[in-house]
Amino acid sequence: MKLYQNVSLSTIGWLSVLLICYVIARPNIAKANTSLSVSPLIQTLSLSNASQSANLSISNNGDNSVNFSLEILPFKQSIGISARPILGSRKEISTSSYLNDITVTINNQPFSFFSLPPHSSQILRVNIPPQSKSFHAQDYYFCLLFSTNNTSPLSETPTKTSIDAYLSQNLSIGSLFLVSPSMKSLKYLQDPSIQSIEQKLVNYNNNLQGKFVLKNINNTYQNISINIIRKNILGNVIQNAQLPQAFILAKGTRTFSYFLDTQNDLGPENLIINVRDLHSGKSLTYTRFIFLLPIKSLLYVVILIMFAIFVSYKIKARLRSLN
Amino acid sequence: METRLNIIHILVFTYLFLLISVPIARAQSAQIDIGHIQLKSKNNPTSPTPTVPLPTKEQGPIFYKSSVLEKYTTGMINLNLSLPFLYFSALAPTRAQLRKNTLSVNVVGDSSESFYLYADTDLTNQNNKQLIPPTSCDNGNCSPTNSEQWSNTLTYGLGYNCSGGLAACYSSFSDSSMFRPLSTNLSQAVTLDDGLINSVQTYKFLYKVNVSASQAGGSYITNVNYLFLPNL
Repeated sequence: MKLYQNVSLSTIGWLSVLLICYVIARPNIAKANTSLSVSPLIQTLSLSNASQSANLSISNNGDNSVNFSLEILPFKQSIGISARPILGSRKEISTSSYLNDITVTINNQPFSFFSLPPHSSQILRVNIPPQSKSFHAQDYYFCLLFSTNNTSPLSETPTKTSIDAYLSQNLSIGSLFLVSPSMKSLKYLQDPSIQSIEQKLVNYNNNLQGKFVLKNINNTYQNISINIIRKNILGNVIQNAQLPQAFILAKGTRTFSYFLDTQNDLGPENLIINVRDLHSGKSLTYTRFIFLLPIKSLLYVVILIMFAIFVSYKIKARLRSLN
Repeated sequence: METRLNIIHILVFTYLFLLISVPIARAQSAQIDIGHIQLKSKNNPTSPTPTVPLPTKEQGPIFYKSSVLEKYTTGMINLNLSLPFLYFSALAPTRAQLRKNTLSVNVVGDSSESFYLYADTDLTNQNNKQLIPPTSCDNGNCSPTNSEQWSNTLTYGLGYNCSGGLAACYSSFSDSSMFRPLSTNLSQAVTLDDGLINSVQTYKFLYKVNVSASQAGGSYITNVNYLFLPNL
C-alpha cells in the first residue's frame, strides 16, 4: 500500500513537472507561427512619358522575423472560365525585356531579399520606367511574388544513420500589376465583343444556366463589370445579378458562366447580359429571348390538378348516387 | 365546356398575377453562382453598377480609384501559418509519421484570390541526393490532382491530406486517410481553392511520411509553398 502511495506520489510529481514545462513552453510554440499581409493585390497603372511608380505594403504580424525573397514574373490570361493568371518563369525573361527595367526599392535602395522584424510593416516602391525607354506600345503585365524564406537548420548537418525528414513551409503572395502604355488609350476604349453565348433553358432543378465568351479586341486591358438581368415580357426586372469586376487582358478571351435560381418562374422572358467598361463607362448589352419551363413544379401542379379532378369527380358521383 | 373555360380563365389569371407580382416578391432573395463565385442579386436593378468601394476603417487596405491618376488598387490578404517547419524525426521503416499544420487566410476587398500548393522538389537528401519518393497511395493511383486511400504500412513516400476551405479540400479528401503527393512544379501547382472574396478560411494540413527498410539514412528536405494569387 505504501509502495503504491509512493509510486502515485512520484507519478504526480513527474506529471506536475511536465505540466509546468508545457505551460512554460506553450507561449514559445504559439510564437512559432508566421503571419503576414500584403496590400494591394491588384494595381493598374498608365504610363505616359514620365516614369510611374506604385507603393505596396507588406506586414509581418507574427512574433518572429521573416525573410522574404522577391521575384518579378510576367503573367498572361488563362483560357476558358478560369480567372487565374498564368505566371511565366524567370527563365522566360530575356535581357531586353521590359521587366528588367522595373525596380523595387525600400527607401530608394533596390533589393531582392529583405527581412521584416516581428510586428512591423514595410512600404515597397515599384518603379516603372517611361514608355519610350521600355519601347513597347502594348500593355504589359507583371506579378511581384513575395515568398517567405525559411533557413533550414538541417541543411548543414553531417550524414546521419537515422532518417529525418524536414518540410520547410513557405508562404508566397503575388501582387499583380497591369500597365497600359498611355492614359489616353484607356479613355477611348472600344467595347469588348460578345463572341458566343450558350444557354441551358430547361433544367429539372428550376435553374437557368449558361455561359458566354467575351473577347477584348483592344491593345489595352479592360476592367469590366457584368450584370445578368432577367426581365419578363412586361419589362419588369425579375432578377439582376452582378459579377465582381473582372479583367480581360489585351486581345484576351475570357469565358463567363452563370447559374441563376429561377425558382418556379414560368413563361417567356428576356435575358440581358450587360457588360460595362469601368474606365470609359461604356456598356455593351446582349439580349436573348428565353422561355422558362419549371418542369419539376409543373409536374407537381399536374398531379395536384389530376387529384382535384379526381376528388371532384368522386364528390359529384357521390351526390348523384344520393340524388 | 363551361368548366373547361373556367379552368383556362383561372390558369391565365394565375399566370398574369404571378408575372406582375414576381418582381416584388423576389427582389431580395435571388442568388447567382457565376463560375466559382456566389453572388447576391441587387435589390435595385436600376441603380448604376458600383465602382471600387471606398476605404473604410474596418476594411483596412487601400481602396481608391482616381479619375485623374487612372490608378486603381484593391485588396489585402493576411496569412497565418501555425508552423514554419515540420520535422519528422528518426523515421523507422513502415512506421509512418504524421504532422499537422494550419493555415488561415483572410481576404479583404474586391480581389478574388486563388490558393495553390506545390513543393520545390521531392524530399531530397542534401548529401547524396537520394529521395523519399512522393506517395502513390495504397492502390498506386494517387497523383497531385487525385487523392486515394493511404493506410497500408508498406506504402512509402510523402503525401498530404487537407480539410477546410471552400472547395478542393472538401471535394478531394473525403476523410483523413485520403492522401496525395505534392506537385513539384510551380506550373503544375494544385489549386486548393478559387474565388476567395472577403472571406476568412482555415485549412488544416496533415502530412505523412513513411519510409522503406532500404531508405538510406540522412536528412531529407524540401520546401512546401502555399501560394496566393489574385484572380483577374
